[in-house]
Amino acid sequence: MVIAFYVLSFLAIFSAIMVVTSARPIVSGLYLLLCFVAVAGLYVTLSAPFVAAMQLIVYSGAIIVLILFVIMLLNQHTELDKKRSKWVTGLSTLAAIVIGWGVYFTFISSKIVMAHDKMSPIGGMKGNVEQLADVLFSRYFVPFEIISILLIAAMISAVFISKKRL
Amino acid sequence: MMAKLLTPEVFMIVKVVAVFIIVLTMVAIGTWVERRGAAFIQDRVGPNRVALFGKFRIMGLTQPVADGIKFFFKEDVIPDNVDRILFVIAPIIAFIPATMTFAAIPFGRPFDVNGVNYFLSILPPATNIGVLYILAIGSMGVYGIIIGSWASNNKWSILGGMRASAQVISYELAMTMAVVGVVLSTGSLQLDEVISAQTGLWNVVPQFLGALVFFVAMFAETNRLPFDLAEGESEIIGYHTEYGSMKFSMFALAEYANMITAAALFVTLYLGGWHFPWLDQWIWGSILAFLMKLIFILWIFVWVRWTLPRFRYDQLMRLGWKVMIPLSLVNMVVVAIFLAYRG
Repeated sequence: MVIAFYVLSFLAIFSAIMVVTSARPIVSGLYLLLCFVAVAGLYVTLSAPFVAAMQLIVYSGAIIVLILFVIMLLNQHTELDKKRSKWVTGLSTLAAIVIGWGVYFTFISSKIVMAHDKMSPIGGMKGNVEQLADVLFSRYFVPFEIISILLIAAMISAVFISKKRL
Repeated sequence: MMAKLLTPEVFMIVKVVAVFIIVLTMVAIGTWVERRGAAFIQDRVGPNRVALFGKFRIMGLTQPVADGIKFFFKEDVIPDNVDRILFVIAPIIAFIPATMTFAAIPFGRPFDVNGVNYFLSILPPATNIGVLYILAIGSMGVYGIIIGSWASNNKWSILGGMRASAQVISYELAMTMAVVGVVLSTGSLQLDEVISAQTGLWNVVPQFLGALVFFVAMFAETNRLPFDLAEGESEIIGYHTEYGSMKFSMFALAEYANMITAAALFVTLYLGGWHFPWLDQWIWGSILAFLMKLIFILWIFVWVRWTLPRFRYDQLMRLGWKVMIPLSLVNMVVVAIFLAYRG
């Protein structure tokens, strides 16, 4: 399990870096796919097969296919040189650092990490489909529904923007 | 004597080897059945010449062996302007998920020997994501097509790959929502529970709509006629235009392996898996029942391919989004209402 963890996290980080650095958009897309598959593998080692399957179905199976579809539709074999002001670059770097630090800090101070020595990595989440459903439809019911409405709104606006004449 | 040799480890190895060999053998025989079936439907003779050791003709059943030898010894051409790495790994990426998905299918009745429970599927049924495993790994299969088509650096290949990706995404939605109906009525994602819930009444009767949607989506997911726009066999302007020899063969093998897994999943979800009146009392009988159903569905694949013409691309999309997805939603809602009122 430890070896699997190191191999998978190496793959995930390596491919995440390659997404940013590789010159061709479609290769970036494929590295993103590799990254998602590696993350799904990490979920399996954490004995959360349901989350892993969802990761594969939603992200690897649908979203990356769409991204690659759009890249192939535009038929961009190489990335164009961008003229971007230093202001934007600096500002986005700063924003990325702040957001990353925020995520890291929230994660470190969360209850999950506090209790990590009490959990076993294997078999700690038996029947996590039921647990997930219980939590989703009782405690987090309202946020869950609001997210659904947000998604529908986003979908309708996407259709509205792409259709010039309705 | 057999009982002494039977330990869970030995049984596992036997299962893995047997399933791999049987699936790949079925793939090989499938190509032969396809060609002979096509000939039968179109009132021709088909490949019947190849004879084992030059003597035993057995209706040309050794044709796949000849094909395999030909594919192995053909010159492996890599065109000049392709992306070499992606061009080489694309067939492998197509092939691996195709051979992985069958692992979750229970193909026979589980049994107890000396207090140890033996299950007849490679993955243990208790992994509790059963159906999702197949859907998740199965959704990786399209990348072989996309990568292959893009790496070929050929506009016809890219067109084929784009059609494949749009088609697979559209029909995957309908297929998954049809499966949700089965998962709802079973109350579990595990395929062995799906099968045992179908004792007496196969899901195809109460969930006819879902079965219909799944059945149609199955053809689209495996890129078979009437939805073979990714391949376009009669014009060969599909994703594997630039491929030859064993690389082409791996795409073909992946297609047939996907077909077998899709058919097996249909049998498991809607046709009662290894259930069959009287026959499923014995272990071998249950395996036989499963194989019989599987072969019947595979024959339907061949039958449909040589009977129906191809859909036009806009018709395919309209069917997917405006007919199949609403039908699968109707199926899901009907099953949910039925379950809620029955308690």
